[in-house]
Amino acid sequence: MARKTGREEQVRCLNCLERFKVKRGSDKEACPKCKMEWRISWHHDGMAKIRGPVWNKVKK
Amino acid sequence: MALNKKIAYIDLSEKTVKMENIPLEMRKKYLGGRGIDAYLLYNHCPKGADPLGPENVLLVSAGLLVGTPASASARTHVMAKSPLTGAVGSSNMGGFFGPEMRWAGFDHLVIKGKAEKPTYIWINDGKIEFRDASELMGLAPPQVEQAVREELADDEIKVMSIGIAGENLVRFAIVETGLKNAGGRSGMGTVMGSKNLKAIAVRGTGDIEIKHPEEVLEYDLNFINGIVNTKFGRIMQKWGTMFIYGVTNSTGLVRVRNFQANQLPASEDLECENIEDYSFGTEGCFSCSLHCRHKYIIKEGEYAGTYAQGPEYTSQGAFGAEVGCRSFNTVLTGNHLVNYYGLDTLEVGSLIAWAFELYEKGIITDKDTGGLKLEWGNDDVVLKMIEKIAKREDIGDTLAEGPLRAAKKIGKGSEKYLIHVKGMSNLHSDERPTPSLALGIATGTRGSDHLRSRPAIDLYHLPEPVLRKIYSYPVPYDGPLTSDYRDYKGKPWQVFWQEMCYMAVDCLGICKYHTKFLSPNNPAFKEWPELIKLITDLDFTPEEIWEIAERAYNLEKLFNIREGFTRKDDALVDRYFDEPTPDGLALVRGKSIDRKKFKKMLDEYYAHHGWDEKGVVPDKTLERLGLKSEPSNAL
Repeated sequence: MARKTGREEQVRCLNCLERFKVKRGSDKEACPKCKMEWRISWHHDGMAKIRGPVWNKVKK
Repeated sequence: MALNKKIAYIDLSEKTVKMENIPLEMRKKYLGGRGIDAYLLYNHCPKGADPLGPENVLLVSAGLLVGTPASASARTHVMAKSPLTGAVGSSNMGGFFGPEMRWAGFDHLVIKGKAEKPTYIWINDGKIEFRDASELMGLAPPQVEQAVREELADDEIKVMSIGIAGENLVRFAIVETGLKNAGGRSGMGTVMGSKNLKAIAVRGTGDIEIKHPEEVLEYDLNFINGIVNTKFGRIMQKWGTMFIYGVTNSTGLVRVRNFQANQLPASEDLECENIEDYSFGTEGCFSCSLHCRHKYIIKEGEYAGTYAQGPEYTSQGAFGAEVGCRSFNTVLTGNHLVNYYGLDTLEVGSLIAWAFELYEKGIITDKDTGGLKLEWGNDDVVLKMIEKIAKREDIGDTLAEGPLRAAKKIGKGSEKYLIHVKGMSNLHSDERPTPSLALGIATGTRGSDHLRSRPAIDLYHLPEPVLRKIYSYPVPYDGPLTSDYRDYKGKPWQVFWQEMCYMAVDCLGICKYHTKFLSPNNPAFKEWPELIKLITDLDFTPEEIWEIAERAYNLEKLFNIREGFTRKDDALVDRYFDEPTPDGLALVRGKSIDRKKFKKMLDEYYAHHGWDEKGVVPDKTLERLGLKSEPSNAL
């Protein structure tokens, strides 16, 4: 088991660069600061990662 | 012991081999691997040599720590004058070839001349012989390895070979070992092909004496635990380098349709998570704990059922974003095909994308393409183009010459659509919003270089105190540093620092994923001296390792200067300056590289290196680094 960093359930918004917490197991979260919506994927270690934007919510 | 491995001078024309010890002095000045190779290239490759001629020298080496308990000490380095650029040609691959070569008793091979007929070199526990390779011609590298193992009745033999692309002198042919470990950039496979050298096979049962074995295992365990527990390490173990696409495409930092866009929307099918549907496990290189290479079977299309390994981030661009394709199966198939034929995946993807744009603009037509419709998003055509390039058919024959020669042949203003530096195509990242990455690719000694000059951690928005801690050691730096990757301040120092870091790790023969490339928490100058001491008993300070890296890097620079490269070649194509990014997040949209600021960055970068404003290495710097008497022909 990997050593916990304390930031497993945090991701950094690529839009405003703010770190925010994501709900464990969630596959979609909005940044609380800029409201950009992100798809989330999970490492089996319980570590969250941004997978990509919710494309149909991305402003053209 | 680790320092008693030999250098072998192999003349393919005369079929002679001479073996010598490597003086300790050379180790103290260059360590090994890419460092000593830089010395050998400058000393053995005459000025103006034809890269495809017998005078060009092919250098194959294993770094100082390769084959030891040092984590990820797997790298083989290959160097020559590049047939693609005419500058330093250099490439690096993982796998198990380098360790086996050391166990066979050799750290460096210097190969000159040209064999009369297809040949492979067989290195077996201190002995070197020339063997007939006529039965191996036309085989893909994994098939070559299998055939040699059967011929010599030993399944432990490791083989570095070329595919048909190298035999056909495609100027960006790779050298490859195993199924997928490729020395991809700058055409080192082409040099092998030009020498009628199909393969090098090695088998070694010798030892590498470790000076302090128990201590090094304990020290290395800390290394390993540190690396695998980083966020980066854990992500790499699950998804490989493909995770990078999720960051860069989401932001707007990928090249799409050959620079016409910088983000590929709705490309979920290219994201790294898709590998979970294909992979049945991962593999690693010698002594590595990350195991970042997936094993997969292609599920659809003409190559369904084929087993392959990978892919890397480069293939997501080459067979995805750059050509407007959105199929993970195409990425997997493309990755397999370039390894099968022995082609640089990055160069192939960039040139196909370029050809697609030329077709879109009517500069080339169906007549030039043999009837193929070079239309964005056409997966079948993208995959067919790979074969055409390898076999030099139709438009493939033109593209096989590399960007500049291909543009010269096509004419009609085609050159202005190329995305290259010094004649080598760029990775599919879009550097318009990232000045540090732009400077890195412009100044790399082997041409456009996304690996050896890249301050990738610049993208992580690290706080300034963290950046300062990294970039002020081992050499003091009190200039500006900024967390904003769009800013120009401090980036020349970051590029310079990373060049030294990567050169040092290439001299040691350790994988770049185990240094401060994609993680700020990985080892570098502070940690290496103890590792070297425990394995070899050689004493270096972090500052001395930095100086070794500088010395070797300056030799690469001197080689390029001797071959006629000047400041004007440390440049980006006009599109970087003239075409702002149309897409992406707000923070990267509308960005282009500012010409004045780029010039200022280049001036500062040269100053950090101790070069003059023209990028020439002055006597003062040569003296400081002990290079005044080069070429010295000491080795």
